[in-house]
Amino acid sequence: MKKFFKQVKNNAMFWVFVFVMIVFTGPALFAPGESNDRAVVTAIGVDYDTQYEVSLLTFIPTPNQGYLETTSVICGQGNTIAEAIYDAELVLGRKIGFSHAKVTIISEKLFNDDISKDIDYLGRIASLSENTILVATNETAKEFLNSAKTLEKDIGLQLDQLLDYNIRKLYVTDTSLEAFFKGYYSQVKSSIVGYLPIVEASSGDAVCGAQDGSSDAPPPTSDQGGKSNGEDQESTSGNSSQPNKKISNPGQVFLLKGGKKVAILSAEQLQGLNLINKKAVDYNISIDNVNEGIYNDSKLSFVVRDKKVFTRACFKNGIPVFSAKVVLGVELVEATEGDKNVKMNTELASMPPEVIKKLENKSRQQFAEALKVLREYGCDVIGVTERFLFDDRKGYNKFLDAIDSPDEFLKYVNFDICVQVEND
Amino acid sequence: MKEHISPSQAGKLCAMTIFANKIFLLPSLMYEGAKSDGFFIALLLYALDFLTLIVFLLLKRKYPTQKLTEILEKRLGKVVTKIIYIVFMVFFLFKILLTYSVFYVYMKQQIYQDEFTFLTLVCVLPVINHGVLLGLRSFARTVEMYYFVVLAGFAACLLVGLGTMETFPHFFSSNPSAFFSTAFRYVFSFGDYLFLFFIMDKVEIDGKKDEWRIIKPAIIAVVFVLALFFIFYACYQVTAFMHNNAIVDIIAIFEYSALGRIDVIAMVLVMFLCLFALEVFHYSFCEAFCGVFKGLNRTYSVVVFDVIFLALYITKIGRYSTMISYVQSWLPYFCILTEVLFPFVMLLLSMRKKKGRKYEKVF
Repeated sequence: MKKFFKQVKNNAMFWVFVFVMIVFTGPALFAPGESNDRAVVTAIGVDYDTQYEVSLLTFIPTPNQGYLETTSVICGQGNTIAEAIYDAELVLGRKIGFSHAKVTIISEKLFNDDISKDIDYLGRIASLSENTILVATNETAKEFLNSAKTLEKDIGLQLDQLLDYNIRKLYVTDTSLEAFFKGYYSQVKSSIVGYLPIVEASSGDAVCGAQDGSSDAPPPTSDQGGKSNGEDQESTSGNSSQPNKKISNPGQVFLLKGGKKVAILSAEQLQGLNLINKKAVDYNISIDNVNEGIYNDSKLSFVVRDKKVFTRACFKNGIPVFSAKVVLGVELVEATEGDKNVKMNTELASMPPEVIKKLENKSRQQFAEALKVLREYGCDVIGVTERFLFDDRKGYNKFLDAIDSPDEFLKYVNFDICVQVEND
Repeated sequence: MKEHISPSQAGKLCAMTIFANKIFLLPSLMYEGAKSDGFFIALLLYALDFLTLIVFLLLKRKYPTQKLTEILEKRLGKVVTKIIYIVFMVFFLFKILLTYSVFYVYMKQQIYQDEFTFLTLVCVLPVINHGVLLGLRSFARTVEMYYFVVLAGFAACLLVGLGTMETFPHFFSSNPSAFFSTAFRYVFSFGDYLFLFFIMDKVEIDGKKDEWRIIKPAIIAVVFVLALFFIFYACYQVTAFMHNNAIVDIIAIFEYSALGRIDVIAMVLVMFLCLFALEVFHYSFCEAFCGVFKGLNRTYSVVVFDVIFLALYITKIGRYSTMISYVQSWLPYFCILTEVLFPFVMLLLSMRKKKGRKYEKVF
């Protein structure tokens, strides 16, 4: 040891090491735990009335014999988002850590104007992941977060899990904060944001979907209160403060143009648009009144198991043409004939050409109907402009010079969609 | 011989310097000026850097064992030599300040989320001072040891980034005026090979094979950095201007459900790269200092560096926002001296024929 010390004492770095140990070890050992100093936020809500109100779904780890998860909705108000967050920090008595925030909820009211100015600050918080999912709701974001707590308590479903499912299976498009800004700053200024309204719950419901009658027009509630600054705390093991409200998941999205809501796309319209999205699989297509082959006035349900999409954009005689060939691999999963079941093995059922044609027509029709909405508002959220930019940028720029604005471009595009259905 | 390094080690030092300054903020700043054509700006400025490298190799061929001071004093006189060395002291000092401030802000945002000036100064300054005092050889050997670790980390980041790429960047979307003005504005972030001139007597080069050993690691590093620019612009496209830490951002965009964020790879990589780049520039600063004040040894130069560095940092001249504004305002003009005029003079010196050769040829 003596020999070792003799050797190292002449090394300057040894003394630097000793200095660092003396200066930093003590304070580090006696410093309070990080959890005492920092609150973990898992979701952020933004509302605006006369001031911004930021609600934070906060997780506070509490040591116990078991492991008690205490989630609370903490609110702060201010003239800016930054001020409101600071206000929430004062309420919490902790610094706010955004690293685990996976969801940002914005109240519908804010979407009546350009939302980008309201969430610009969130986009600039370095610790907030750019993958944070952006969601709109009809009520206040604060109420939404309270309902999210109920959701978790009642059926053990976390908000981010629900949204993750939506993104993978329903929207099949990135609806994160980053994706919003990408759309906003793009030439067409269009993006989509998931929409999860809050509706009145019947007893026993925690969440409802598109088929329970709430998908088209979720009833708005008049209660816009709860603006008081402070904490609306409730342990998940305790009673819910709003037992009659639930989060509805109708699979709808807000269509945004320049950061402003211009339309709500239904789940069916989204499915139609996703026809040319090769990632969109595992969804249902149903056709009625099938009278071909072994079927007699049957209703058939198919699941799209795989999909191949080939797209191309070009100008033919000066007219922009977007061509897509879609090959759908489908599987018959259900067949009903009036009130009775069809006695057959659906897995082995053959599909008459008429059924295939019906399926192809239905897919094309769904796409055409959804496209009408995009054309009406000049919103390109299906990557048509992008395709033209890559395939024929010169032609695209030349065409843009001839029309009023890039927003009009989609109206001039001819779509040549060829759908080919294959039985898996 | 304690100070002498092999050509391969010199090449690896080149690789370390060109990484650190360009993998954070630069792609984002360039996007603001020239959109995705920032990729071509990087390519153009790297071409300029490689010309400097070729000039260095030509000069080294002509003066294989001589120091830069000796060459300059003989050809341009003592006063001009001192002026050149003072100019390069300033150049390397600002390179250090830029690298350090960008690194500091990154660490503050991603790890500490609070100011931690004292901690970082205590951790960084002694290490780079020690590296310089130990000598070029030991420092170069450390770099050599970690070189493949750094390459592997960088390649991992690029691979993850490649996985998140959905489309290609939109090239050729800026006009020539925006392209060249952006190139000029960020020229200070390049010109890293200039440090080689200040250690030219310490690099042992014997033949073309050795020259290739310097060029090869530099080319690998350039390919990696250009790949980063490409992936970054492809991943973020129109929002590239919002993302200040390119190497981290290309992997932070992707979240693995089982692992969570894996940007820790980039964090470790960044620490190595910044430390090595700081050491190279610090060493070059000290060489320039010793060239100006010939009676003083390297310990003095290290102390003087620390004093100036701390003074500039405490008075906020060396802070992030100030440095970025300097990089965009007066430093490009300063770079005309260091990155254009100086290599040109060196090229002339390397091409100058020795007196008396004419007679040798006759007889």
